Amino acid sequence: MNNRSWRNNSIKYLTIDTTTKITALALAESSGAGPPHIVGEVYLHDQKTHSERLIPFLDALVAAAAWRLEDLDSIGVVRGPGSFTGIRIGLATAQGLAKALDRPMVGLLSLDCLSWASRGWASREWASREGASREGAAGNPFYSAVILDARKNEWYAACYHWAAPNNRVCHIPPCAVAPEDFLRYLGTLEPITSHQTRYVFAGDAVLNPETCRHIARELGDHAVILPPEQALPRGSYAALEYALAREHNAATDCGPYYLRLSEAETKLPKR
Amino acid sequence: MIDIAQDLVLGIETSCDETSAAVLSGGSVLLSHVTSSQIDVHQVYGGVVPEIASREHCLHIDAVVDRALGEAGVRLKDLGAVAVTFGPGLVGSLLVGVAYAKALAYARGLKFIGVNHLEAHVLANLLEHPDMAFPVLALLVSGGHTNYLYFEDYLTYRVVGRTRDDAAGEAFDKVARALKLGYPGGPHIEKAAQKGRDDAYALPRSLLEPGSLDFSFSGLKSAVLNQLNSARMRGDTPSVEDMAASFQRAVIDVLVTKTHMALERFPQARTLALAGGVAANGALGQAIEAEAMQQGVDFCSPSLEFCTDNGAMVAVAGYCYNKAGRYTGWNLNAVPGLKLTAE
Repeated sequence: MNNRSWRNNSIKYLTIDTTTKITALALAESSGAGPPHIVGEVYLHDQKTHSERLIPFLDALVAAAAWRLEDLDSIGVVRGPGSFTGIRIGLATAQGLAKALDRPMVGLLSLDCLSWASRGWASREWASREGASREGAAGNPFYSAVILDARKNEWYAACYHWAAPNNRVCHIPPCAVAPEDFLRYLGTLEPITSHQTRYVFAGDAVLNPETCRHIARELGDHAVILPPEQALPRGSYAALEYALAREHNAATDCGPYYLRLSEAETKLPKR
Repeated sequence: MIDIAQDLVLGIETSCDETSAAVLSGGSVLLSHVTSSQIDVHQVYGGVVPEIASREHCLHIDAVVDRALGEAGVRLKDLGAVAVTFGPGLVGSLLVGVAYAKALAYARGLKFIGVNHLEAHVLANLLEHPDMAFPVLALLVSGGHTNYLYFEDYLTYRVVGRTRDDAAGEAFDKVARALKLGYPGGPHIEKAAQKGRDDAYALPRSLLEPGSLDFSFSGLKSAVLNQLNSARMRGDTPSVEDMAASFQRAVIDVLVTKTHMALERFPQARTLALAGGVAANGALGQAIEAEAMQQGVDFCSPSLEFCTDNGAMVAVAGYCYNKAGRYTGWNLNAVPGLKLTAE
């Protein structure tokens, strides 16, 4: 697409996340090492559609930051899992912007992004382990569990473990799963510490009080459910995820990531 | 060499199962027209599956637009406007085109135009008949609509006839399914009808109350289904070709009769324009053209490529709106049940 190198120097980027009911945009700058500078973000959680508000919000955000769209070096887009329609609105918008600006896209996963909601817990644990070996994950006492409402009595879910500020290990990769099965899997994970293991929950499924009671029943005191202002998608989470992907030079697949076939495909007789 | 950049319009269409884009210069010079059809993908389901259609659009839209620009030899900065269908159609499919077109136009600072798919079908006639004489009486026959529209001018029109139940195209699809001819129904029926006798089955021609320019095709469809059922109950094998021919004849008879009435009602009309997916039916085109000739008005109908859903018709509608200085805001949403504005 373009010939400017976007590694190993400072870049400016936009992230778009429309995979849930929340419209989340962010503008950020990253030098390629260490956390990015989040310049601004949009968070809107109401009844209006992504389609109506995405471009007006982008316009307002860019204007507020006194950036020009041409300043962007790339477009980060959350490509799923989540609402099928939301995934496509985000992707189609990112594709249109990328084409118009002649910039590359970087695809991100919604669940990966939400694992940043609980990274603060890791910082606390790392601090308490001051002096202990930073190698390996043995001393880290919490898992980051991300759950998105996938309807049909399922979650889009994944489970991670922050071993170090920029080292996240995925223990349960993104899947569409029945809540009871996911909670059971969590219980069978090798406990990081036997007595103090915590599961910190983020994602829009925690908005459902019944879900919270279910988690509490299964995991008791080991479960920590983040409050909505931390648990829901944010532009900044996607911006952090973008920087991590860049730091690790991760492959950037930019296609939609639905995790599920369409209803019609599942009903098609096998040939 | 293109020197009137402001006239270049990119049209994008994703309302159903075709991802299509076209670049149009000066209202009628089509520089490119690229369509990625999903017929193969949906065939196995016997009809368009909305979720699958939306997924396909999302996978192909970028490449389709790329090719349309490439084949036109045009860069984005040469464009004057981007036009996109925002309804009616399948909401998930529409949203892909709307989101993409909006982002493209916004980031390049281009004029942006949301286009009503039904208006675009009629305006498609301008592609091959740029000097179409107004007023125009248009017969719009598609999968979801059967209408008479009276156009005073490009964008000034009123609806003077509408279907009260099934659209003509819908009847074609349902009858094709009953005859096990598959999807899409229109072309299959037309092909089968060529080998059949159109008076083999007695089918009703519903004209509603005297003087009405409205339509009703559900009775005709039911009559076909009933005759097929009773034939099968008797142990007969109904002739697919004869039934297709008889059905098609009945639809055409109704449309010709109504068109005769409509032209009498609107003697000022100088052109009779046929439009919509069903306009691709050759027998219908010939019959309506004969009626126009008899009544001494010009006739026009888009060629096959521009009858079915296509980006070129969206571009030509966009051209008309651009010329009129009518643009759309960035908060445009898809409107699956979008009506004709005068309806």
